[in-house]
Amino acid sequence: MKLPISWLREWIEFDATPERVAEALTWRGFYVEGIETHGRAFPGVVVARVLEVARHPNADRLSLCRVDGGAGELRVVCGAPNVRAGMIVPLATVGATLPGGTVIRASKIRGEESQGMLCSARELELADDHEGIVDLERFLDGDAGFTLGRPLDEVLGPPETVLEVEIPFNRPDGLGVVGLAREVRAALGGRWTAAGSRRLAARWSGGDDFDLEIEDREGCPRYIAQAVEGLAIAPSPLWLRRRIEAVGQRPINNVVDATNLVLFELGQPLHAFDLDRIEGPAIRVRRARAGEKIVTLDDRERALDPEVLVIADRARPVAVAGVMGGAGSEVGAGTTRLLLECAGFDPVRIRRGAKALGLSTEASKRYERGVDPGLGPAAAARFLEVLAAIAPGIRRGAARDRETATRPRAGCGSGPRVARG
Amino acid sequence: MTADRQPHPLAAGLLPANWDEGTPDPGRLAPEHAAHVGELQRAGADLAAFFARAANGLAAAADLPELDERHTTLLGRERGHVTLALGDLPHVPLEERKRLGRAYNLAKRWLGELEAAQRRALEQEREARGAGMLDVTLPGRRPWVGHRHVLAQIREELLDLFHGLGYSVYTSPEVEHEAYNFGKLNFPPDHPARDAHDTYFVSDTRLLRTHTSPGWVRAMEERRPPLRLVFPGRVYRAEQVDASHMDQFHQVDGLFVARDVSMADLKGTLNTFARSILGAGVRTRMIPIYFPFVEPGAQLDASCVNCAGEGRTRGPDGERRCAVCKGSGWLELLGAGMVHPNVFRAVGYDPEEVTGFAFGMGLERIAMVRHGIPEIRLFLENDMRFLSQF
Repeated sequence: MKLPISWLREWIEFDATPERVAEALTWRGFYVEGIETHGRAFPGVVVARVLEVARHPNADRLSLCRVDGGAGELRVVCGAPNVRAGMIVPLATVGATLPGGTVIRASKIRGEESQGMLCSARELELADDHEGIVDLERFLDGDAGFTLGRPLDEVLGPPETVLEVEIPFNRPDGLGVVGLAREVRAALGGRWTAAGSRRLAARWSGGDDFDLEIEDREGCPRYIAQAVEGLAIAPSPLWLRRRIEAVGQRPINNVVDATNLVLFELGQPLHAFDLDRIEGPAIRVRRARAGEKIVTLDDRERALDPEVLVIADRARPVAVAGVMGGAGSEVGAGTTRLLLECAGFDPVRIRRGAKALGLSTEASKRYERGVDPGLGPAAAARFLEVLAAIAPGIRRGAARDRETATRPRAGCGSGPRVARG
Repeated sequence: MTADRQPHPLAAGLLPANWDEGTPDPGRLAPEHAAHVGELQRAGADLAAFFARAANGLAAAADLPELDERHTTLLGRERGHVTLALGDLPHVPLEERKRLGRAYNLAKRWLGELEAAQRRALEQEREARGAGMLDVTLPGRRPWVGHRHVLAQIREELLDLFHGLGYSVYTSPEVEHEAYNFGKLNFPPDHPARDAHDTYFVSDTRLLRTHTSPGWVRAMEERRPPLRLVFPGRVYRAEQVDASHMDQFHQVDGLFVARDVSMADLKGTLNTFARSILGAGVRTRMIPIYFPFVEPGAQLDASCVNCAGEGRTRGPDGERRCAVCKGSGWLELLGAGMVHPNVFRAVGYDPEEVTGFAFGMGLERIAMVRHGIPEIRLFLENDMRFLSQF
């Protein structure tokens, strides 16, 4: 589990260096394997605008760019396929030192002079992306002041330190930032931030008008379904994409990123269905029937058997419970209404389903080890809070919360842990 | 044919000049070769005489240097008469080429056989002569003897150490029942902790043991406390093989069960172990870790042998992060803990009556830390350049 320090600070106030936090976690059974820094400052890397892109006369895959780096025009040879005129890019000027100790020098590349280098996200340790040059307007949502020649680190803000924490099998509560925050708070003192306390106290409540039935009561102790309408799918804002990237995931869109945010923050897996692609609309939580099939989000058709718990609509399975959603009900660019699933499942049932399909996902990993059954209402409330902030104009639709009398089997921890400050 | 050389005379059916200096008279040619000479007569009397003489020379060579020299003159790969002649034949008119080619190929085979036979004879003769001439003043040649594998050495050393602390050895099967490998060690069925042990299953319930800890269960089922045992052996995991993972490796577990055994006893034992293996100056720490079969569980770390726990090393180009401990100053040595009450219950011991500690280490890991071995695969590669260093 990757633990970004800035995310931890969003939840608790504490006065300690990342190294001290790492040591405290290690001594409490959460072994910290490594400490990484993203977005370190690299002196000499500045904001620049590409003025013109021409073919390199002696190379097919290189282009010859005229670039304005604030202090006059430069000529730069670039190998990235996405470079185009007008783009705002990070430019490593002559003399800049990049990660790994590469020093930028003026040189001739295939006979053409190059007075710097345009950088990809990976080259600057901003993210793992090495597909092309960073498009700063897109990367920063175009909201930063793009003064040409301004040092990049001023534009990007402070660097992010991320702890790589090994979560023991008996502490599934550590598979979320808030769980680790509790541990850090217990070790080092400190208080919940105002936002943190408020979110921990928040509880989802909603209508009772969605058609939801839990048929496998043992497999699913709790299921909250909440429809959301008036949605516009869009890329997430920078702060959310940064969060998602900091824990090693790829940002997809505002809805998927919001579910992932709650997953990594609280440890509660969520799933969003496209409500218009759910027949009924109705949800049945049941075992798969012999011969049933589903195409999962990874676009593979998978045969199901009655050992596998599924989420079905009136006609067919739409998700493998606790493991992976179905491609047929995936939230996509055209989605305007979604159905949020916030559920508790039996760890053994999810583990068998994941094994039967040969799948291991961030959700199944958490359900197998045991997700705090008390988390659901706080997680659903947090998702709606985040979504309202990044997708203005949404409205809540039909909803239902079903809790079966079955006491959930304990996961790997000594007993269920309930989310409390 | 190259420009700087005339065609070999034999390619034109002519004899090379001065080819037979010092070769004996063909009169001594053994009778079984007469047939070959007769065959060669068809290519010409001169050539037949030439090869008869050549054969005679080989068969009469008095010692190996002489044989080598004649062989080189005739059949040498670079400048041998026959070799050169055969090489030049493609430029000879067709009829002539057929006639000479057949003759030279026959001669080549025949002379080759003769040479090999004479070589064997000369070599045998030399050996027979040498047998009677033993020089007793030569220094003796030490017979090559093998030595113990580095892992065997470490195992012996560990067993010796624990023997001194009162432990005896207990061995258990490598093909193990699932109940012993997992169930009775407090891995419930369908428990994710089983995922940490990628298992080779032999059948639905039999498997290649993934650790030596099943030995505890077998020993405790057989015997009554107090117990002080070590469990050396080979274990198997279905791992992707890389620099630090093998699909088979070796462990030594230890188990001490009695009344009032405490974590302090464990710590004392492990410190004795660490100092014995890594030297008296080593520092250790125990940090909490989860294993299903112990509670509490601990990981024993030793101060890094490369940087003495500093996390940094100094070299000609200044200070840098220690590459062995990756800057932490600590190296992971083994796992340990107090035996889980569920394990005692599974073997019929009363956890209210007895307590115990246990530890388990990978031999390869201990050897790598101690000797600075960077690659786990070396242990099984049987490369003498590696093995002879220990």
